[in-house]
Amino acid sequence: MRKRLLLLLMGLMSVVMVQAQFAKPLKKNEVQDRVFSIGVTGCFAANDMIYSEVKKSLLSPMLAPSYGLAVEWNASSHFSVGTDVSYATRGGNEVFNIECLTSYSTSTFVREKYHLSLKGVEIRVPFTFYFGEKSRLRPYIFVAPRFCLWTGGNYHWERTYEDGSAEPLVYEGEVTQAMIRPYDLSAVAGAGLCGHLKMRQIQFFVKFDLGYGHSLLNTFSQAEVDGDVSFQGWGNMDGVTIGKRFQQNLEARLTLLVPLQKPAADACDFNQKPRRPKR
Amino acid sequence: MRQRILKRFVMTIVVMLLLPSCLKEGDTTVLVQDPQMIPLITDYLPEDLLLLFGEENVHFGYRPPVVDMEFKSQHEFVATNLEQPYGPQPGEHSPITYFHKLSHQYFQEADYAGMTSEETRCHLVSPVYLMGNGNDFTVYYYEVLKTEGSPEHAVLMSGTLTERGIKDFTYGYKIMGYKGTDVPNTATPVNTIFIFRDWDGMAEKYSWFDDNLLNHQKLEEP
Repeated sequence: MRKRLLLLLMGLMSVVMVQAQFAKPLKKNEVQDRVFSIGVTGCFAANDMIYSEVKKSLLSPMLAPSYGLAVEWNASSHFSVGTDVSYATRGGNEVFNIECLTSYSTSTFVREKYHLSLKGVEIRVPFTFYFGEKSRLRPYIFVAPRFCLWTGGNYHWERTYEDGSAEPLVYEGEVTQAMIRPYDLSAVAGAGLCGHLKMRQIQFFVKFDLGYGHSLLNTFSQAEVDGDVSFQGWGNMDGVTIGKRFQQNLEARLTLLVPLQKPAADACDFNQKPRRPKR
Repeated sequence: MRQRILKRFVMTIVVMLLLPSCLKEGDTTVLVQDPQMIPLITDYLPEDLLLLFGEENVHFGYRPPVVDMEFKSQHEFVATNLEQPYGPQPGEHSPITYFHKLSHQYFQEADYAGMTSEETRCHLVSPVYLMGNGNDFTVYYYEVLKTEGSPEHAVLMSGTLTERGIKDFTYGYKIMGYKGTDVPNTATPVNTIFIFRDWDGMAEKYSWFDDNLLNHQKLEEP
């Protein structure tokens, strides 16, 4: 349901964008409404892996930053489309504790921890709708398809026994093609606030938003799905891949954009006084 | 300018999609899935059954092997709490052949189908619980049989998974009660426990299961 809603919103935004592309050419004095901006963006995300067939016992998201460049083109005073290209870290942590009997009268707690850190290039295309006309801070909502190409990463898996009855078992190394689908396509949606600041002659937009992203593709590698892997760190469950694995994240993003043209007074401006109607 | 930027963007996406994976090649992975919180065997089964079955025959652990197998067992009595000489003597062979099928559903859960050579229909229990480590496993569950009086059994079985079948197969149950109203006078008393093991130590892999043998009705846990 959530995915369908996101896709619907993205579809609507696409229609608006296409409509904007075929719009009548601007007159000189109309350029101010259609601003092209360029800048930097960074986000801090809580990343997590979720499984279609598994209820997780502990929530332990992996916190990681991403940073890159952003461009945005305001198609009108309400709609914009942008592109971010970021170097991102995604992945997840899995932790669980389970009481395990060692005899009829004794038990121990076993703790398994898995940390997967994926690094790669991420491209986001946010379609944004800005509310309001002349407010100091303009709220907005956005939806964005997000494409990630993983270039590397590492993993760490360990099993420890609370009572020390067995030596901790550790596997770690670099992420390979067998561990993850080499690319990911996600849908992101969120809301934020945009401020238009002016320092001397330099104007810029500061955008802060919170978004939720969910991968649309199963992140299990083809080898994992086919069972064509030699497992490690997984006891004797060889060849069993159950259901699908998705990535989700909650991210706080800060974007700083410098308009290449002078923005309209009401685009996102709180330095301008409201215009008085002409008599 | 707008069109040029859009064109470049689309080109970049296309090129990236066509790029081969940047990740290194490898053939190992780490699959992390939560095990279920299944009931502990000591909380679940009656203590007297566990004691008579013997701790040494129970395989503990939370990573049992994937047991997807049909097999049959021919039993030798190991122990019972029936007063002698009315009960079977240890070492005595049972004339009944047991047929089992375990279908692994999840890490510590499976479906069990079973019947004896005296029955014409098999029964299905879902889920049954598994524990163990490596190739050693223990299965435990409750079942209500469709035989006379509908006895309810607490069941425990264990062994080691091999290519040929289940090695050191041990099987035990306790009659918890009778669910039916037509309990015959000759029925084995409630609370009786029987412990068996396969007489040659190996419950052989054996293809026996047929959908037609099912009652087509899942039995509920007590």
